[in-house]
Amino acid sequence: MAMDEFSVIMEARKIVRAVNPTAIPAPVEAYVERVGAILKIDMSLADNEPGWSFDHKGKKYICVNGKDSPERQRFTICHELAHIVLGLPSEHQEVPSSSYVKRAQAEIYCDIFAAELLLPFGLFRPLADKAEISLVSIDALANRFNVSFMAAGSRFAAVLKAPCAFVFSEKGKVRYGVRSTALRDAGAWIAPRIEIPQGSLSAKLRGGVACDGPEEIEADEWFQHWERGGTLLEEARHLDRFDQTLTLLWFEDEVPPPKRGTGRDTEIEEDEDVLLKELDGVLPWPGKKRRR
Amino acid sequence: MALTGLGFLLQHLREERRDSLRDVAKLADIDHAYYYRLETGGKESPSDDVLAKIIKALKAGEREAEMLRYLAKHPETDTALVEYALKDKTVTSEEFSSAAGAVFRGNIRPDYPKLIERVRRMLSMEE
Repeated sequence: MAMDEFSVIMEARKIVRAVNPTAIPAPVEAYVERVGAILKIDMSLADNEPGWSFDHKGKKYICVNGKDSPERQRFTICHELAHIVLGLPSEHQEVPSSSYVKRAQAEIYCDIFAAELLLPFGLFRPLADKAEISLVSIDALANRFNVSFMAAGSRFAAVLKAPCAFVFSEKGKVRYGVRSTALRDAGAWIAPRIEIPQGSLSAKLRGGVACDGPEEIEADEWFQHWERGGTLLEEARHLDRFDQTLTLLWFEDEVPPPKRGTGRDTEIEEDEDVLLKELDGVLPWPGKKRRR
Repeated sequence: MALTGLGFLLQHLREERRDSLRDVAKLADIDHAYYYRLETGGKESPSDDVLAKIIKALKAGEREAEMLRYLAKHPETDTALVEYALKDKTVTSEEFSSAAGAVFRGNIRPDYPKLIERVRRMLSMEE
């Protein structure tokens, strides 16, 4: 079976089901045990080397940078578990870290897998749905689940029932945006590599303007080819040191604005002839020319 | 230049013996065109039987035979790692396959001497 995001999530949920975590934060050691891997803390790795894994005589070893924060170590362990479970290789050669370089699909799948383990749907979603949509809520969830703000923010937007998106930008350009199902279904698309919209709160923060709390912004400033209109609420945080911007976008209403009828759609709706006939209980088949 | 790790190692072992492609193919009782494709990367995963015949024909040592078996099943292995393992005879076939199959989080990759050293260090930490 070809691998896709759905199958990756299903594989991760199999492990979550088997371990059946009931307490928060999720028990990473139990996941490691479930997969049959051996965990090693490596203090000799450089700051930009979170971890790696290898197989020796059939045993799986996961090595994690002991100098990283506990949150990062937990994510790395689950990312490496994904490589083992999904059988995904990584690039042999060093990968450029420029914002413009697209990440390898295997690495994206491993991150999705790790998020499923660390922020189990059954434990995370009820808390996310109950929480107010805000960066403070994401902070609280990140602390509770012992994950990074970025991981919690991405997951928050992904599982929320409300129309919401979490956007990660670097050096003024969008790297990726995670959208809730409601936004995805509505066709709200945040294109990677576009500039942060000029009029946005995120752009203001990056420009050094102090902002206090969420601000309103026209939805089409963030969403590409968006014809539904509507006003988004935007909250953002800018990390000067890394020139990274984290943005939370949401509609205040539970659903995105309805699709605006185009001229042609309206014409069709008004033309009764093209609508289906009202059901009258009489089957339209077989016709008179029924073959005997 | 061979395109696969398997081809690279086959060519190295054959040239070490100063055999021609036809010599090896004849000794292994296989089609020389097929053997040529294995060396040049046109074919990359011979069956266990064919590989066993080639290993016998090349009189490969146990370490190289294990490496060939691994490479036949992992055609994506970097030829540079095969080249390194051939130069450093202290690298065991198990260490070679551990390094070949290593995966990393992040963008940084250690060079092969450092990777082998890390595999050894992690294994020495066992127990």
